[in-house]
Amino acid sequence: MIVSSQLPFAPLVLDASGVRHLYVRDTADCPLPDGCGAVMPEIWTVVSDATVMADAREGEVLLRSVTALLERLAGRLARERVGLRLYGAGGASFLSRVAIVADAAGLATGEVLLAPPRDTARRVVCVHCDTLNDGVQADTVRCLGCGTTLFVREHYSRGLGAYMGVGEPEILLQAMEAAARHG
Amino acid sequence: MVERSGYLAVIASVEVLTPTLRKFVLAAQGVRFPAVSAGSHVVLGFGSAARRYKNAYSVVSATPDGRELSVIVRRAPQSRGGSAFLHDQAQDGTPVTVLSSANLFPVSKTAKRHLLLSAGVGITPFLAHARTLEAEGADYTLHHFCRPEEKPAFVTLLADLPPGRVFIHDRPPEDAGMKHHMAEEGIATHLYFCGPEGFMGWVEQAAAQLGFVAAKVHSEHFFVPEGGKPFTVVLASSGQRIAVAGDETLLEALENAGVDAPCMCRGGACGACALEVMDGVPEHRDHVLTEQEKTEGRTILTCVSRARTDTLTLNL
Repeated sequence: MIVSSQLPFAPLVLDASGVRHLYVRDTADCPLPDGCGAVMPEIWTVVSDATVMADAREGEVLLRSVTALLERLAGRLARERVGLRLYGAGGASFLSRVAIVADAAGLATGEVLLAPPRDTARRVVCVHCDTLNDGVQADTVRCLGCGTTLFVREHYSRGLGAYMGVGEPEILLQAMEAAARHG
Repeated sequence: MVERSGYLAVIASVEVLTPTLRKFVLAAQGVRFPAVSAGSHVVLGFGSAARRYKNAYSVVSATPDGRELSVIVRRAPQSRGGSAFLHDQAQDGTPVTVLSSANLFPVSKTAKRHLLLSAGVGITPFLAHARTLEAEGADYTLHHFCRPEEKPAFVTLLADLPPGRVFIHDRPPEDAGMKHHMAEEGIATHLYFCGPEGFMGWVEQAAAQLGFVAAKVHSEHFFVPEGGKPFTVVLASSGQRIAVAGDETLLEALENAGVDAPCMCRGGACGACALEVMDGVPEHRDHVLTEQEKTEGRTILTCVSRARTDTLTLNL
């Protein structure tokens, strides 16, 4: 059996076994989970507007940035009681950061439900210098930290919210060439 | 019959906790016991020349040097003889073999908080867990439920744990407001429970209603395999026919006939003893097979389940 390191993405459906529901999304374009109606989740939406105040408006909380939403989420989960279901929708980077906050708060499989990401941009960690490269679309990326050309591996770190990037650092290539020249 | 493997031991002391509960301290003879983590059970081999028993019991404590371990045994009303033997005949010096040990009920190492619920003799795995969690400085609460007349015994048994961590109730969980306490738990809490079937059902239902997810609910169904109608088991490979008496389990009958049948927990909880049923209808009594598997009737857990038909043919 191959155990995937990817986050378990699946189309969102309201989980009737939960007693409270919180839906976080990084844009208002994300649709509500299926099954909403008689039971409605609390909705938190990022609107990327610096003038927005985080007041509940018709059951929806508007947040001015992803960071603001994640900070509010961490505070909420620290006080939350058993029975909550957390739903997340949006870009891959947003979802990976929601998962990090949820994991840190002690939520488990079944308590966090994530929609398939709306983009394919990946965060890549350089295994040589630990630099996090955001928004990587291709299978290779030149590391912002050490300049190494990284090949993006299908190995996802849930703790870092990033894929592993592996390359041959320039310093290593130089050393190997020098060793070859001098026998 | 002498056990071919295992750790030889003798009963070093017997402590009467209640009329139905006794604590036995086993002392290793020669080779020391393997390390046992909190939540482990051991399969003990004991008995007389006429009748050998192999029963699984939770380890309530073990010394780090492997020289001693303790179990608590409840005298089962429908005992097939094992618990009655230990209560009536075992004394200091009685030989006992520790045949195997395994941990099917560990705590989640990553959990931020642990809520432990037990009833009656279901306290046994939690005696080990609570002391380990206390020593680690972990966040936990233990609620134990028992009959009023047994409360003093459990108060004594749990006296070394801080009063703020341990609550002993002499009423059923419903009357003690346990559901309210469970609902107040933070979202990071993992739930563990062990006790008689009625108690298990109550906790399972309450946990589901409160929205506990399966990943955070951990239980150990201990139960004593009960006897039933005698039947005959047929081994497909050899055609051998083995009679299963009313007061022995299918697994015991196989073992007494010298058949090397797989097993581990001996309580219908682990699934290690599963065998394929080729003919006959099993009477399922385990907690491992799904409802669909039970309906299909192609698999049987020999340690607890029996047969509805007069014969049962196994692929063995």
